Amino acid sequence: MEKIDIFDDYLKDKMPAKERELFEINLAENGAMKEAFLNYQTAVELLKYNGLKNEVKKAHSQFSSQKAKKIPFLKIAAAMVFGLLSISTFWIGNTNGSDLLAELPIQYIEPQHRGANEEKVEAELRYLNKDFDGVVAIFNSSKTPNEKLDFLAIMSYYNLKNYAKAIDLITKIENQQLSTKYANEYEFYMCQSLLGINKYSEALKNIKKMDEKNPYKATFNWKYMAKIKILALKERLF
Amino acid sequence: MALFTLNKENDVIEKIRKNIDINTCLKYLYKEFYSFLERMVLNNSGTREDAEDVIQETFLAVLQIIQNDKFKGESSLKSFLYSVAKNIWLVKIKKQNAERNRANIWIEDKPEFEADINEQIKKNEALELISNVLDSLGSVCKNILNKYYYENLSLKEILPFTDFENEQVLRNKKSKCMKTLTEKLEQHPKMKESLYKALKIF
Repeated sequence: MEKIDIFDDYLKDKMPAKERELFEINLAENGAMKEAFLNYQTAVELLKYNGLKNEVKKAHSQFSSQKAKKIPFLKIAAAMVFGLLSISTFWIGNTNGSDLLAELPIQYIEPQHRGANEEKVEAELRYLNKDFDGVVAIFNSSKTPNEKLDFLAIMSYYNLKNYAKAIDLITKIENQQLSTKYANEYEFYMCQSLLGINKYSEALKNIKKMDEKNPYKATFNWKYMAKIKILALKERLF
Repeated sequence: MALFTLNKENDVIEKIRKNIDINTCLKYLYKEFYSFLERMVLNNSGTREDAEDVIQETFLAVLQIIQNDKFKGESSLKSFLYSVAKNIWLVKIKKQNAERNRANIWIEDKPEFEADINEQIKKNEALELISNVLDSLGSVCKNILNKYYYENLSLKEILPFTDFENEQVLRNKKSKCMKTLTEKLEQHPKMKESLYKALKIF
């Protein structure tokens, strides 16, 4: 048995007690043996140290490469956030109610056969011919405009982008609290007209208040709503 | 959350003590404490490179101290790591003649640790001086000795990693490698002497 193997057995506690005792006596009395054993112990310590050191080095390089990978990712993320912020800021700064209305170009089209097959009155014919000024003139000269004329006048003001006037007339009709077959249209064009005069918060409130059964409500999709909300926030802040 | 951290910490300490899954334990130490230790070095006139060296040496020393059963859990792992890193950094700045920065470092003294920590630091310095002796060994020898003495594997467990026919041939090779290593150590009597002192093995 090699000396090294004896040392291994001693150090790894594989030696029987009696043998161990003899070995220790030999170690104390034999200088050369002691020197060899010290050398062996040093070598073992060095091997253990080196093993652990390599583990730390390995973990360190794993950690460093992970850290290095994270940095480009953070840079890309930061660039994307910056880009999105810039686009949003640009969009917010350059968008108004008219742009929103252009995105949702729902204009009331007078049906050719609403009700019976009666001959169209002049205002209706003018509206169909997109003579909105003509409709407004008839409305203004009428002493007792009927429900239809009221409505066509509001739609004409809306088409002429005179949103303030459209709002006035809708408000007036709503204040009369009469039942009307144009209630859905009034709710919708009130919101749109408010957007037209850049009153986003009020428009938002009106949209939220809109009757769920109103078919026009579905036209306000999440994207459109998000834009209104952003503009409403801008309105509140500035 | 604190309990989870504590359990995780105890688990890591136990694994280090038994020399099991060291890479996972080190990953935990890096993840949890690297930034904290790096800040300590940076706040005390060190650079990022200094911090890297100090932290590697700190983790190495802490693993050794735990494996030698000198860490009894009297303090949290964090404050123990801090004490070790602080002492290692002090030794380095002493060498760089920058003692003027010392005063800022002593934030939390743990004198009960100091002796063990300083002993380990001295031991590692002496081992480091002589560690290039291992580089002159062949890769087969290094591999066998590492598995036998560091990983604590038996010859039977090591055999599949080698091209040796049987355990006896491997045993002979291992003894030969160890003999070569001790002979190489003999060639550095001064370093060996200081290593004996640091290791306190006589």
